[in-house]
Amino acid sequence: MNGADYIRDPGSGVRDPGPRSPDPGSRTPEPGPLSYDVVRMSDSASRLVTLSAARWRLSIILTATMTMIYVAFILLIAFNKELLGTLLVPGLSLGILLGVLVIVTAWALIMIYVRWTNANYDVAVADIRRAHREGR
Amino acid sequence: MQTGQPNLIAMSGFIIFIVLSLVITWFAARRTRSTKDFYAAGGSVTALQNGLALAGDYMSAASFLGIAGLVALSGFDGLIYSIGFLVGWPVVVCLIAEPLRNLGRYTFSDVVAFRLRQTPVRVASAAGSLAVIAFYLIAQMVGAGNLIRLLFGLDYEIAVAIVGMVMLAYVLFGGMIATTWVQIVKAVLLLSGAFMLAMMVLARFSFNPLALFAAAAEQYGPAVLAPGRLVSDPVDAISLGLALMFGTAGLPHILMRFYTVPDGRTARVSVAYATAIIGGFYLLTFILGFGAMVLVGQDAIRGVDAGGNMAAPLLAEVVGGQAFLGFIAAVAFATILAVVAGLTLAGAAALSHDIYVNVFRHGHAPEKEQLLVARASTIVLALLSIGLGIVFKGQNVAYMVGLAFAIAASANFPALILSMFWKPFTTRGAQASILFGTVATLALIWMSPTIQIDLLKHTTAYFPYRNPGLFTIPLSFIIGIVVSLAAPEKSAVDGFARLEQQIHFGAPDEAA
Repeated sequence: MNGADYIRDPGSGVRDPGPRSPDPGSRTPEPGPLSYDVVRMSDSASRLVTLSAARWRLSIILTATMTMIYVAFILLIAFNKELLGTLLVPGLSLGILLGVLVIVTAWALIMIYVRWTNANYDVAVADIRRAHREGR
Repeated sequence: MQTGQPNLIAMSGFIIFIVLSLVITWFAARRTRSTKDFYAAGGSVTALQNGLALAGDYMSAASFLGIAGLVALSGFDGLIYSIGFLVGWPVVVCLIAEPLRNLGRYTFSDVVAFRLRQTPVRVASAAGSLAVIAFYLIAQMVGAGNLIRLLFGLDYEIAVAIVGMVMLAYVLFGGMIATTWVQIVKAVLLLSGAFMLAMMVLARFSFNPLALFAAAAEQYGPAVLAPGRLVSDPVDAISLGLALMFGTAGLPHILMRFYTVPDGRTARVSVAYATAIIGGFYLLTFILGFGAMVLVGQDAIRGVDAGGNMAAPLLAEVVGGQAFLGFIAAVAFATILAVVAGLTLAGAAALSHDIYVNVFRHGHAPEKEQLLVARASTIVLALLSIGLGIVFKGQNVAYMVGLAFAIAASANFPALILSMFWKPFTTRGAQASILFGTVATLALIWMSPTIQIDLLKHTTAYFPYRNPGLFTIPLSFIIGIVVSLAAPEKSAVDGFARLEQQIHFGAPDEAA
């Protein structure tokens, strides 16, 4: 799917999102059949809200998980140096083992996000686009 | 065998690589015609290519030279950087990558300014970006200057000037297409170089990393495997950690990479590739750092550069001889050159796209003129980075990059998040948050022991901590929120629905 499938009302002049002129008129909602209003009225609007909420929920859970794990690791470094210095076997301190685990966790969290969005989110967004095009 | 002396084999390997990469640039330059080519490689980069290029942009002199040096000189403490540099990536993929791709065109200011007043927001965020880029550039210049001095026996100052000139040639003629290809070539070279080096080290320890760590503990005491002197203060440790974690999501040259891919999905998948590559590389830095500690020795490393930045090249000479030193030095130099090119390009985009076109030309300037200004900005940035690189001689490059992350996390990250997720955010709020984050972080760095004691040789510092992130990141958020609530902005609130829509579906007329 690419930009060609974008939900748009061919008649509406949705403006370029990038560098826009500081003309105040471009920021106030324009009257007429702007694509966003169309979506809001249709059935796909509620699906988009649900979908959006689900994705942000996952994003926030994963970000929070990473933050908590990493902050816990840093707090151990800051306040319990002896514990991290404990040798599990000669050459391997607890600190080094945990450090490797933090790196592996970061990658695992990214894979969870990418797999979920590739399998669910992208499909749902494509569905909404298709439903929108056919429904009008 | 005497290490750390200039030699012919190393030099020739090095020069061959530089010439090769200039040839790549020349081919790419013939394809750079529009501003979209110059800044965003025409938006046609694939996920794997972008993953490699992201990794290439991210694995700078700090990763290869700086972390290896820190681990070699202070053991476990250096690993705090390795780990911190990676944990920012889940934040990037979950919160930033796709919305950024769908909302903007060339710079992250496009996103912050999306539903706010363009000019004030762009000026503020360009200032924040330039501060980040300046510190990042200093680190690369210090690394490159030391490397050229080690290889060719040139003066540090001349070495820095040469690096500045070569990088100027790269960006000036190649733009984003050349820079992307250089990043890809460099990422592959860096990974294979670091892997070969690590294997040659491990070969001496019967391929058991634990035997290597144990040898380090035996030689320098078990303390090298535990947190210790480098981050001696708990507040400093937490402060550094937060800056590294949230700084990645505010680095202009990394964020810019998401505009080189065709859609949000490619942006997302490219981060997964990038993180796998970067994570693998950081695990190798454990071995390179401790390898240099044991096989080269801390005194020898310090003798060549006080910041420890030459640990990896010296290790290459010890385990693989002069030819291998030449190869590793060329890889390190390519690393620096590529990162510098990416940074300069992001800086040029901030100066010309955000400031010149939007502020002085009110959003409309002919393509030719934009390219001209972008190229002029590149020259200014090159000269600036040469000057700063000379001033900051002798600092560890990983630490310097840590400061760039602190600025990015305080100036760019809060405004980016608030603009995308917090409806009441206003133009004034964005301005206040970005400018406070930039100025406060710079001020605290100025007052820290790094500048006051190490650089200016004063006996005390005004601010006791070396890492300001713990204070500046939350304050930037609070200031952005308070200023926004104090004076609501109706048009910004109205624009939020359009922003949410575009986060999921991308820009409406981009396909046209």
